[in-house]
Amino acid sequence: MTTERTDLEALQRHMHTAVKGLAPVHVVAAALGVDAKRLAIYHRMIRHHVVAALQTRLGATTALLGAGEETPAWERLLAAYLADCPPSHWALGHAAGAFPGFLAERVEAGDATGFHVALAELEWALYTVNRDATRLPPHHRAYVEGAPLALNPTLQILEWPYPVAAFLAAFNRGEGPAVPTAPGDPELVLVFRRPASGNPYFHAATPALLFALKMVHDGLTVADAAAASGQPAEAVQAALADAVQQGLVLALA
Amino acid sequence: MPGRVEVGMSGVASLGHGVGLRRPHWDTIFAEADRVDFVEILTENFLGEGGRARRVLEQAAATWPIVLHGTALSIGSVSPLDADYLAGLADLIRATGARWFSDHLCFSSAFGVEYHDLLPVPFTAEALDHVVARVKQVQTIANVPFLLENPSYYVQYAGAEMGEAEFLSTLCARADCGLLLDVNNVYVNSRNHGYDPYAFIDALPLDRVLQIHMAGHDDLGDVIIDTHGAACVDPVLDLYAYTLGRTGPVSTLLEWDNAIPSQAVLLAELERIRAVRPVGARP
Repeated sequence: MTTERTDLEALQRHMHTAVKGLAPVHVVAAALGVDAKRLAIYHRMIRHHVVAALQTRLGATTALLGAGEETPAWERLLAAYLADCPPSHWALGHAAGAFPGFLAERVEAGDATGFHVALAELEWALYTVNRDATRLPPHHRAYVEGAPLALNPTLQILEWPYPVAAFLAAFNRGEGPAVPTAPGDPELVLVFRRPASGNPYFHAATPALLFALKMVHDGLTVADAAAASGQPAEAVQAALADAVQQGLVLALA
Repeated sequence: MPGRVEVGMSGVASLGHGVGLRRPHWDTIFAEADRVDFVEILTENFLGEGGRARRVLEQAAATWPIVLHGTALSIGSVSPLDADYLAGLADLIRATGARWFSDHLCFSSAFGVEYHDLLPVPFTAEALDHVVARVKQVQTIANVPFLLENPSYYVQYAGAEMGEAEFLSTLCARADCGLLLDVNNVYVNSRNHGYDPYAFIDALPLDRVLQIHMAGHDDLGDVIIDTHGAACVDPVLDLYAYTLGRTGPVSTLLEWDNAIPSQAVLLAELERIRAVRPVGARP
């Protein structure tokens, strides 16, 4: 054990080296004059925090990649992620934020598939929508004819060439859905925070919902939208009522 | 006790006995609001959050006195304080009407990396000067007291120039800040580093203690890990009684952050802590 005194920055650089696994713990422990087994506790805990963030925020994606079984492939992937993408935000959940992009860079090498990337992006979108600090304007709980309409400000419309919404919904129900192996037709997914519960939600877009969203986005009246689409006004109102009921569109109070 | 103002040697009225507001209890805790005197908000769980978290926070602030407790301030880091974090913290203090806010004597980030854990600062004059200056900077963001907590730590650096108690006493005096005394941490550190926890309590600036933390830990035999994942052990309750005998009534909070139990178990544990009476001598 050395008794050499280190100044504050040098000490913190030593600790940084140890907890990031940039040097063997026993080497850093000797430099700091601390017990190596005790120093290793910090390395394990800090690694655990990132793993927990990944498995909490990207639960389906990490499960598909073998996190639950701690497979060798998962452990290799995790080690690379910890080395390449250290957390840089105080919110622990953000420690998972770089994972979709990290996976995308490993598709070519065969460490992940395009579906893994898409699923990770959807799960991350749900996290960001949940955290979105935007406050919703006062609104009715149901469609009110004549009330001004606005898009839910937390809404994200995302597109992937995989049925990720159906997969994640089935996964969350514990159904063990089959993993798509090849890309298919593009699918639009609506990710938003439900006004009633304040919880994040997602589902695949339907033509009727997309019609309602475009109508509100473009500020069209029911009559204009009916004329432009060739639908009866009742059908337009029904589409709007469904979008409001789901919380995608707000009927402002 | 609720409804009666009790003031300890800090001169600040005790808020009574509280719990941390944790997600598994969001749907049920308000129905038993009268069993909790105050609530501690983990700053990072609510900072910048919208949606359900924000609603629960507003309901909590309308129900109980609120105190804020953070883990990401990184008061001991050689890297600059995060201005965005401080601005968000100030907003949260205002929004909740927090009575005070706190964080740990540690560094939890450095060189652009967030550790999401509490790494100890060395007990040196250089570190003391550094932390005092940063506490003074943090104190400018709000007109409520700022408290630093004595953290649990697993390593003791070579080259310490003073003991932890002396470091804390000097820090509180020079920075004019409060102390959040985590009694479980005192016990955990005393076991891990082989010192007398009662003598440590006696050496602290107890007139600076505005809040006490109580928690459980995980005893692995060769080391105790401060997990906040179990009930308080009897030696920690004994140490708490001894502390109360010196501080007088102090706002006391039960931390239970891992393996979070049912609300019934949580509140039963709070009652167990509430039943502790001050004693004048060690057991």
